[in-house]
Amino acid sequence: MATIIETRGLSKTYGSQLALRDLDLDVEEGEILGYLGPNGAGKTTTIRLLLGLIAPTAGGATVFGLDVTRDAPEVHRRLAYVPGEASLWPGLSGAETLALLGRVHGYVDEAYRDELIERFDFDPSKKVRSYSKGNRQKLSLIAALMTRAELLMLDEPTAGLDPLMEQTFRECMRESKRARQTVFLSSHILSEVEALCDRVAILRAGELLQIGTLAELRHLSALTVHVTFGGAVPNVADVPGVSGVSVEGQRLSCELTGPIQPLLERLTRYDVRELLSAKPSLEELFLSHYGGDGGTA
Amino acid sequence: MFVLATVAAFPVAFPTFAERVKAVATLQSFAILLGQPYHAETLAGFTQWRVTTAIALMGAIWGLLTGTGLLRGEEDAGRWEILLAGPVTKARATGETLVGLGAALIVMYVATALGTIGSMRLPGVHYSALAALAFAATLVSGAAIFVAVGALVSQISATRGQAATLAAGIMGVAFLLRMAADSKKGWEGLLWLTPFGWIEKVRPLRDIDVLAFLPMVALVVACVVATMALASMRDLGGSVLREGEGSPRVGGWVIGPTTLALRLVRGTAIAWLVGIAIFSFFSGAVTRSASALLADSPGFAQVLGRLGVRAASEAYLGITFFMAVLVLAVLAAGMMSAVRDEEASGRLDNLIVRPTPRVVWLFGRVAIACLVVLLGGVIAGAATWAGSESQHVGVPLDKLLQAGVNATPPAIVVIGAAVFVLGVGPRLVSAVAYGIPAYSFVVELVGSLVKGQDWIRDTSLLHHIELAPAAKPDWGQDLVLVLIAAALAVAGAIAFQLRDVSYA
Repeated sequence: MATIIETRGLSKTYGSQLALRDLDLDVEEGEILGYLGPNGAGKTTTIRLLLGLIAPTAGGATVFGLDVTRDAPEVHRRLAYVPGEASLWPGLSGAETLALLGRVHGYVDEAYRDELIERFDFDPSKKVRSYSKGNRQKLSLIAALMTRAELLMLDEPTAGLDPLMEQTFRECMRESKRARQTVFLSSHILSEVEALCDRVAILRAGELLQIGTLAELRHLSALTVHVTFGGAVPNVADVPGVSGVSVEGQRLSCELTGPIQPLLERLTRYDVRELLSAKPSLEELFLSHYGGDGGTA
Repeated sequence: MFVLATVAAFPVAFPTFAERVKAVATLQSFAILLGQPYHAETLAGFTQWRVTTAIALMGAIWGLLTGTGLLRGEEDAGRWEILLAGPVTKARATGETLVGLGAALIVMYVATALGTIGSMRLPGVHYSALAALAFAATLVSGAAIFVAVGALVSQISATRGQAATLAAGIMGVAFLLRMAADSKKGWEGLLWLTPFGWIEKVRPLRDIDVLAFLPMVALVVACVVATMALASMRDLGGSVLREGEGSPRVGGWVIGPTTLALRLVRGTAIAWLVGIAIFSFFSGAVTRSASALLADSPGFAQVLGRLGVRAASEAYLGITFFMAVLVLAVLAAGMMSAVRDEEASGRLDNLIVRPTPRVVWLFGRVAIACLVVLLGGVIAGAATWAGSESQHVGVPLDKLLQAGVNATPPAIVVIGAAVFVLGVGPRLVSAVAYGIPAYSFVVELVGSLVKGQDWIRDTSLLHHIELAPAAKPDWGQDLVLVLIAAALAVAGAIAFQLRDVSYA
């Protein structure tokens, strides 16, 4: 499987302000990578670096094996980008904008474009000025998807879309995956990332904290355990891997990292009425990384 | 500063009464541009003539851009939506913006008044403090009137661009009327029909006509009242005028960055070119009467000797092309500001994240700006010829076309300098692009009075252009300007290619 995006030590600072530090990242062909982080964590900076819009202060990046700065036009021929907030020419109509962006890109699947216009319930006859935020976002999405580009760089692509259109977007992403397109998806909508992405990268304050499949991330994270007892509540704080113990009446809650066997051995000595354990959701995983500070740039 | 420089320079440039009388005779040649000189043999008369129209015109341009920017541009950008979501009505937001603009005008007035009052300490000044204060009010009145006009047209226009074009059209007609009034004996009555005429008529430093302030105040009040009424009646984003519909087809002629640039500058460029054509036709049409005024002046023969021309009409037309040089430079500045705006707004990203190299986009924009400027020069020449031929003046077309082309190099330099700044300090593009013609204009007006300081005038772009057809175009000098512009543009393009994209 080919590596589509590769960064090594990719860094960007603005004066003394750190926006991104030593990013090492590989995105494989046909993969959908979810790129998560709070506001200012460096997500948009990463995308702008990968698009060659800004130059790294250290390190480098390749897309399709080409240098993103030196070979920008060649890289751009094979990718499509959707910004978080579409800034388009207010005096052009939607149709004119699609025609222009399609011609500039060089290839458009016209049948698919017309299908997308219908599926996103988009009226291309109006001027961009008159579109709502959601409609401008639809226009950006259609302009990107209609190119059938090998790589889709999406920066908060569903911002402003209603739930129905968000479903349409998810369907399009699944189609893209089936068509072996690679997707770099920066998003705040965790359910969207959870539903679509093969792997998730979590960024904080310009640094990559974790990257892996959801299963891998969950494996690395603590299991939440809730136990209700018929009688006495045992002390489990000394059990290996257990942390965050709290007791409320007959109910004990704790976090568990590592093997569950030692905890089970301790619990089964008591009158256990109910035992619930759950893997953390992506939201819990995400929030567990951002209890304190957020981003820098 | 302009007032202080003029007041300080006058006694040095014309130390004796005889020299002043002689100089006044030559001033008549500038009457169509700056208004009829009134007692210009005195320091007070000369200063008010030299400064008033120029400052009023610059103030008017600032006023219409600021008025439409704050009262329509902010609405276009969606920022008023946020403002009006709070406990603020549209009428109140409009009113408070107008109060803010009023405060800016007051600050401007105080700064100007400090200058005019300060000028009283200079040798040879005999006007009163009251006259100096009235002079400051006259100088600021152009800005005040066109802030108000800008505010009003913002309420009826569909977009900021449409509002600015409409306000600029009103300003152009007002200035043309003033020019007409000053072009022929017996037409002075027309001065009462235009704000620039009222400004000219005040003559605050010499025989003040306070009545001329009345129509200015009345117009400002009327515009403000109408603005408030319309603002409270219309929907957010609503307008009386409609904007043209876009094409519903997926197709059309906008197929790339350069055709897009053509589409984006089309409306503004056409408006400017039509304005240049009207201005030039009119300037040409009054050649005979304006030349007659020139010929009447005793110092005319001496002027002709200096300029090296053979006909009064050509001398007069040379001065009108000075105006064309300025207009083309401002047009170039506007187009280059729009180039920077594409980047700052993020719209450029749509093109350069596709296989369009940045320099290709920039080259297209610069080429179109140069073409529009060149077209403007040719139109200026052709329209001046058409106007002058309507009066059977007899200046040949090729001579006026050459004069039009000769008027373009300063604008090309503005484009080159703007590209350079775009590469090295993108946030300064507008300031530099508009600053160059404004600086050059002021230096031309002040620098001509300062003897022995030729280097000051050398820093003005306008000083390096022959006033064709009064003088023969110096194509070698023009080529040097174009080459300087090209060098600046190349350096700027390289820097632009290498630097980060810079957002607002």
